[in-house]
Amino acid sequence: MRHSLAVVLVVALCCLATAQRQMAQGEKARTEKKLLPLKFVQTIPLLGVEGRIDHMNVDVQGKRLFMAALGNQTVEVMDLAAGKRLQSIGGLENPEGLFYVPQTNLLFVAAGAQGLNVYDGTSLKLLRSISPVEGNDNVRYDPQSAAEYGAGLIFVSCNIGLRAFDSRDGKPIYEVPIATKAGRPESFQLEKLPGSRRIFVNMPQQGQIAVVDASKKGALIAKWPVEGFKQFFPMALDETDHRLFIGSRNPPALVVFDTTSGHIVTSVAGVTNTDDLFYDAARKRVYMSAAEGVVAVFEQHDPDHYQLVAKVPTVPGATTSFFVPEFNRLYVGAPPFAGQPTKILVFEAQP
Amino acid sequence: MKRLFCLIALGASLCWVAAAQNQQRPTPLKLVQTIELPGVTGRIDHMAMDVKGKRLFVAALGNKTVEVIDLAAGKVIHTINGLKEPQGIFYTPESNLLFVADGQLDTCRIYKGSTYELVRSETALQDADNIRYDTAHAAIYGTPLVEVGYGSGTASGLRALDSLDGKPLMEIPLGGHPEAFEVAGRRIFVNVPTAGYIAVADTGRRRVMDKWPVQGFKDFFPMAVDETNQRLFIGSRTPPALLVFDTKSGKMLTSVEAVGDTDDLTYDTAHKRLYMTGGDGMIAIFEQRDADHYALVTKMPSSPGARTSLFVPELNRFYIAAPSNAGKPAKVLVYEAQPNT
Repeated sequence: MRHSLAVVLVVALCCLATAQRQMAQGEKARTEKKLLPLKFVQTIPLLGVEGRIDHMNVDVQGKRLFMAALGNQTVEVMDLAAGKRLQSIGGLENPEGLFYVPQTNLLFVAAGAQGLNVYDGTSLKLLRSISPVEGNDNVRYDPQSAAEYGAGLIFVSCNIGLRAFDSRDGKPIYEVPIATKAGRPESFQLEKLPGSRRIFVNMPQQGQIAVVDASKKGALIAKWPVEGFKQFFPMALDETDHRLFIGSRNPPALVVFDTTSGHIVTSVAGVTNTDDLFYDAARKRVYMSAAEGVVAVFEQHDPDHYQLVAKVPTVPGATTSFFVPEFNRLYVGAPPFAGQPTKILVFEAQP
Repeated sequence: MKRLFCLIALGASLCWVAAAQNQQRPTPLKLVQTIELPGVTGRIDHMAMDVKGKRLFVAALGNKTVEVIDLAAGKVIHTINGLKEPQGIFYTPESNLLFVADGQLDTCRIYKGSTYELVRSETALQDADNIRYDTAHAAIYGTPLVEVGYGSGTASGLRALDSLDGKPLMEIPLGGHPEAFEVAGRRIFVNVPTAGYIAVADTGRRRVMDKWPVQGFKDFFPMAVDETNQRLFIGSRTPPALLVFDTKSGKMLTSVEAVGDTDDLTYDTAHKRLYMTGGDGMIAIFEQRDADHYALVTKMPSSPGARTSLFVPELNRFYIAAPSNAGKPAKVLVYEAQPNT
């Protein structure tokens, strides 16, 4: 009898120890989860959207997300408050990049071979289509050009380099013919601090970053060699610290440039096949969305030191994303995978 | 008189030479080597080649193994175990990795090419089947892709894996299980026999853009492509035929009688020929007279059940996998492609 009691006691103690261990593991897992820099908060389903997803943009005031559904040949418009699709804009051929300009309530869509389409921001009706040049891809907005042109300019990367358009009506203003036979530009970023007017342009096939001056109609002022890296497509800018980030695909890496010297400061091994990169100035982090199905989060310890701190799971093929500092949200475009339909994954940046 | 005799003799000998040549017209494929696969039983599926290392990899489906053959030594040097139904296989030279699609494990296993150590398993690939190599997009992705066909019904697709580490990079959904498929420029052609069409996917848009009906033929499994002439070839089992499509219009141009129960088909660009292996134990060799005209010029025996094969243009060799039969061991038959006469 005494013997049986002892056995029961030993078993009970073992169970307690196991339970404690499990609790400790659970606590550890929760702590680790809590520590993830991006917290998954929402899914916006996009049923029926097929194929590759390209870049995104947001209407902050109207809480709308615009997504270039390249494979589906549409632009998908989502209501972020309701977490659902509002509208699908058709009649497009390979929509790649887009930008919503709140000042003029216009949506600019770069559609590959088709050209640049201008839509009314409210009705989403097509107002104008400008199409003499092919390879239209990334779209950016430069509010500082308003001093010279009466309104900010829209910049579009294309087969000839960059093209600048009036953000009020889409009228072509000037061209920046930096593309060569070797290749066209990929992502580019504009300086926004008063008086800083440079535009940095990734030219992966030429192995360099082209630097042009927006105050001089895009005059080429420098070419920075990108040695040791190929297929560097996305780009982000930390203007305060004079740092420019590019995402290389070969080898996969985050490459950091000093925008004062034009030299590489450092590089950190990244994730496979990225197409979008964002600098979160409030948290001093860089987000890199990649096809291997993760968002890599890099911590900026200081302007010269970076560390890959997390790989947040998404969906394979989800190369594009969009970070909105005003909402503290990162939107990741997840294409169909393993029978799962297209969706937007919404992450909240954690402190 | 003497001169006349000489002329007659010369004429007669020329006729004889011509007749002899006609009789002994070499077959387009000459058997040059037979490599035994000791202990390998059951059905054999597809093969892959390490051209530089001269190794041939055989997906021995029924045997649940992958057999590694040293072609110079002419023997099996390694057997990969732990598989259930190896179907498709590919060796990536730039990363020295071996990709094996297993239809029962629903997995693509990735092994080190040197030690055969398992480095990664890509899962959720129901009935993982054919594997193809896509170098066309390396300039964009920074690495070639390894495409794996999988699934059934609407839960099917091609999953692209990074050839450097096997991680999934994207997927193209399909409407039925993909049989053979071919990458050509920005397009991928996929045989979807259960749905009765060839799916045409755009790799830039990563989706199926077109479906070409295959009317009058069923069970069309193997596929080959002639990019120069913009022709797509598929092998039908019911009825046995070679079908030729125009890749511009998507229309079927012609069909030629073929061998039965085929599972592999290759276009030999240098000799302008097509090789088709049939499970009925025959090899069909078709001549491409021009882009629109094809003739079955030779039907030669291989071995019963030998439906899979691999042509390696770099070595000018055609490998046929012959399963064990009537007490004879399984083997790989090695043929050399002969010049056109």
